[in-house]
Amino acid sequence: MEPQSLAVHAGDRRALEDYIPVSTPLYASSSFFYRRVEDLASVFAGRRDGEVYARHGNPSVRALEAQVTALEAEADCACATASDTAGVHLAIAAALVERRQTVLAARALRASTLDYLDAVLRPSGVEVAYCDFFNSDELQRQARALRPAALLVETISNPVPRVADLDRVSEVARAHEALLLVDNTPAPLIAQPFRHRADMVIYSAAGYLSGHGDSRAGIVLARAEHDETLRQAHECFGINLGPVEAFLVMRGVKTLPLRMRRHCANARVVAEALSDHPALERIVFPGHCDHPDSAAIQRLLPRGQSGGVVAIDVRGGEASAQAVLNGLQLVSTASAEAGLATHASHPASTTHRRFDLETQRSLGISEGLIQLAIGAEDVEDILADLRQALAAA
Amino acid sequence: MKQSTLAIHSGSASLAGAAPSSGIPAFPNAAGDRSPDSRDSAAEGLERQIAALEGGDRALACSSGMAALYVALLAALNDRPRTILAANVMFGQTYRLMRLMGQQGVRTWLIDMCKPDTLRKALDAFDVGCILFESISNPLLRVPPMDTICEIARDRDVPVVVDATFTTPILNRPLELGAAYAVHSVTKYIAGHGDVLGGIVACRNARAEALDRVGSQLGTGLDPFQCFLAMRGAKTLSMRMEEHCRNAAYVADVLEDHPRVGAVYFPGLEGHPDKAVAERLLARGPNGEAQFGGMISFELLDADESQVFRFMNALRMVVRTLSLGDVHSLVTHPATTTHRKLGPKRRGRMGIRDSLVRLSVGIEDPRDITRDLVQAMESIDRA
Repeated sequence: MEPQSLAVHAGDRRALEDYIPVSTPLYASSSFFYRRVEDLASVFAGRRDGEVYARHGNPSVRALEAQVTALEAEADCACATASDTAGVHLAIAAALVERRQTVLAARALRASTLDYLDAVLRPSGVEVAYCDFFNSDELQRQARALRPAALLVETISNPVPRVADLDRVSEVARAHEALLLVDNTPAPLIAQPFRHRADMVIYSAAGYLSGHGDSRAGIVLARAEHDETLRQAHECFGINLGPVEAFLVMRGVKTLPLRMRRHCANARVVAEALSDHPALERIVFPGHCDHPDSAAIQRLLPRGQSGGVVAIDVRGGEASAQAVLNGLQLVSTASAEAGLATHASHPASTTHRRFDLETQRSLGISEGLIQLAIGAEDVEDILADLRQALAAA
Repeated sequence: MKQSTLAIHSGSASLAGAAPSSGIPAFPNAAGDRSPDSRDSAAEGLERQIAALEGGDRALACSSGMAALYVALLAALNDRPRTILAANVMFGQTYRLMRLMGQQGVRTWLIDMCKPDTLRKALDAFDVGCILFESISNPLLRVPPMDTICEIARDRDVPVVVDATFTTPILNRPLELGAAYAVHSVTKYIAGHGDVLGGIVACRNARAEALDRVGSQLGTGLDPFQCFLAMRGAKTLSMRMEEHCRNAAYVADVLEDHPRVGAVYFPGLEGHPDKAVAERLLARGPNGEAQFGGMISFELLDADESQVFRFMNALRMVVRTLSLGDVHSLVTHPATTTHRKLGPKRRGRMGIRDSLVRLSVGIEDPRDITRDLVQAMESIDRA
């Protein structure tokens, strides 16, 4: 089946008695039992599959895991987690089992991941180093010096949409026997990290997967060889997803192919339309041919599908950027994840505020930078709102 | 306010000074901000409720009891030596969590927490980051002297983490005895209806910053729907605990007298090594009677695994599953489930035999519970 059909069908339709629900029921049940206690013992002993306890798995959650596994090219298994950072934590913890406790991470990661790496992972005894993954030489050098057990990178970076050359990154990972963890939150269905030899793929499902701004979840996908380690760590940490959240994400994924097409198309129109706008210093959009990573983009992203994020740099620095944000009427300025409604944020004063100027600059965050996560509204409405706010600022 | 009043009122908006007189919207953020550091108001409600019940200032709801334990341990080890001094008989998964934390260099020593002298010696011998034990141990129902342990730990400035799942804030309040963090699997008594998977950590203000930081940045929050169910469940916690305790005392007496039963582990029985400690630590019931929790473990006399399974399969009302603390009675076979992965040798050392059954006594009529247990025991040898 094609992804668009899988999105609608995969994971659902498990038979109950002699009828089959079209949509997976919400299993609000902490535990499960069998007519014969031998069956429960067999599940624990790994001799048969089955549900026993919701921390190990719950049919509502497993349905989501089956759905996203079917949709991700070359994935064999998935673990749903309580949040995006819980997913990042799970992937890293599983990748580091019985290995050097060292992670080499891209500097340009979304702020919640950076906060987690600095405030939780590093104090817990893992060495965390950052480098510029868009610079292959620096990556190579750092990997040689550190011998990390895992590399962590996003397919389209935050908050400025840069694109790392995953083929090159995975070569470096192989050369140093590191596992490659790729956060594909900004490019589900568009980028296919396993085809570029990623070992695990992470999603903040609160973003495009769920897409409606009503749920919080993380997903870790992996090849079969990591399944057992991931499951074990998942059970120990107890960072499982609840059934209602799983249901909402699954419901969202059913329209993911349609929404991603719309997000990409809208972002392209917005980026084109604003490219010569006098109020803007620059625009960064992976669909533009003058994007600094255009060679990597050609290999990673299909033509015409460059994600839904457009970064604009407003002339006049922070004051002008804030004036633009305040002038917006349709576009929301809440710090939400990418979804149906377009939203705009000012990284320098919000998500990336804790970083000093030099670090911000190295991440491409100028004082006038606004990140636009283009929604699925009619693009004329989005454009009209952006234009009036830019004109008024 | 008394525990039963706090259970019903604290956490709801009326005490927080906000508008509605009862309840908390389960999905307040349906279209709004769900960034990791924003708090869901359903979670806030549950957190206020449990913090009040624990006599604490702050509580943090987590995606499971294990997540709560993990967050509490990370918070307790904050700026401390990365070592844990833990009880030698606990929930099996807790040992596996500590082994996984060992990957990041966290060392664990196991001791008998019921022996204060052993604890003192261990604290003198090792550079301990934090102490971890269960208020009533799983599955053998020992009751460590929490007051003494907290006192010894306080003298040495070592934070204490207590998994208080088996006692709940109705029977015992670890923070008042000096524990740094009280951890609960909300799945069990607090939510109480078998429909939630969650956990919670409670603490005083001095410890809240570390707890919030680890919790929010690790992203272990509990979703609003389950927070709502847990909070709804906790409103009847005090009533339910009284009934669980009363029923368990009744069932323990019947089991002890039954010829098919070997050892019965219940802190309320004469001969239980920690009966006096339990009487000292656990709150009394409405008529001044001593309470000992709702859990009983017992051995079927000379039974092997297949006979235990035959007994469990013969149960008609009591559910044979995992978990505990539900409104319905349920039995678990630790050797093949909760403590399976420890292996037979380790289980043997811990005293967890194949003939051991863990019973979570529900709030049904106690006569129905014992009738079902007795008929199932009598069927073992008939088959």
